[in-house]
Order: sequence, then structure tokens, then C-alpha cells
Amino acid sequence: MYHFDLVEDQIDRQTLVEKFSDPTCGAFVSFEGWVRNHHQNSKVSYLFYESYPELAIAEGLSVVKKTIDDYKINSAICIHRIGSLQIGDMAVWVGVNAAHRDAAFQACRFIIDDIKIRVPIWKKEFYLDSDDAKWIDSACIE
Amino acid sequence: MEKSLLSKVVCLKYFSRFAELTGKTTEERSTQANTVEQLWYELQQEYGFDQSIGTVRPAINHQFCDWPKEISDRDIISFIPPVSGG
Repeated sequence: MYHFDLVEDQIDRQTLVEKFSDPTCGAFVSFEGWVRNHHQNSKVSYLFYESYPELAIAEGLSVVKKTIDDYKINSAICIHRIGSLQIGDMAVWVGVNAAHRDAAFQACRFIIDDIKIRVPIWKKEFYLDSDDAKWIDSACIE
Repeated sequence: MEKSLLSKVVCLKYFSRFAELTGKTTEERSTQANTVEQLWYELQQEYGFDQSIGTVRPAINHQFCDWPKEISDRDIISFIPPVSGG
């Protein structure tokens, strides 16, 4: 099983985790990206995520499928939220299961890293102490 | 490749900083550009896109493509600025 999607509402982690129930898997690894209140010495008030849905979903599916093909994992899901997100909101969720933990950890890391550099999703930061909102480049993301 | 004497009509989709610079998210445009690269320079000159071509990826009909890709009438074209999901 592999899946990638964009959502406008809150990501429901419990429903996602339940999809990974599999007696052949001894490992489940997930990653959650949350909205942080600062970036490079600036106080962030909220974020806005925009996407190119047709291309983002095609690229996201490609990333997840490649991970299934390249790592010894059973299933992988990635969900990315778009729209306005507040501090503490979950922006992205990645889940992977596998027979063993090494593959699950590595695959989960690969998915989030590749999503961040390949998928047409853009983040705009709004600040508490400035009216100059800014589109962020992946090159300046830690 | 020289520009064509024949115009094509393409549908442009703009995102993030390019949508802000153009003031629009879509545009139906008549162009004599033959390739997406020629179209990029045409748009960069008109709208003052601040990104260098090396940081942008072109897409035609919802798929990434190479810069020399030839344009056809009614193509849906977008120039993808640096992404920042996650």
C-alpha cells in the first residue's frame, strides 16, 4: 500500500496509524512536521501552504512508490496539509511499516526529505514583528 | 531555436511568488515561443521574475519537462519556483 494526498483540514493521525495494522510487520515509524514559532531569528505567527495539486500529487505518489520499491518496507503514506496553519499544527505526516526497524526508519527519512525538495508545495511565513511575509526556499530550510 | 512566426495560445498557471509578481494565478497567452525556455525568458522580461532559470523547473500539462521542450497550442504550462513543503 502506498498513498500521498493533500488535505485542507487537520491531519487525523489516529485514522492513518490504523491503516498500518499488519501481522507481518514488526516496525512502524512515523514523522510529523509541525509549525514552529520561529525561523532564523524571526518570530513566526502562522504559515500558508500553497500547492500545484495535479503535479504535487503525481510527484508525491512517485516519491512514496519509489520508497516502496527501494526499501524493504510494506506500506507508506504521506499526507501534506495546505492552506493557513497555526503554530503547533501538523503540516505533514509520514508513516511507514516494515518487517524490521532499520528499513522503516530509513524509508521514513527518505520520504520526508524527498517530499521537501521535489513536490510543488510552497510555504509562506508570516511574522509577529513584521508585515513582510516571505516565501521560503527549500535551500534555506534546516 | 528561432521563435516561430506562428503564434500559439497557451494556458499559464502561476504559483507562490510568480502569482504575486504577475498578479494572477492563470493566464491565457498568445506566444511565438517555440520552447518552454523561450517562453520563460519572455515572461521573465515582462513580469520581472526574480528567480534564475537554474532554480526553476518547467512543467507542461501537469508534468515536469526539460527546458528545450517544444510548446504546442493549448498546452498548460507552469514554471515551478523553489519548493518548500514539509
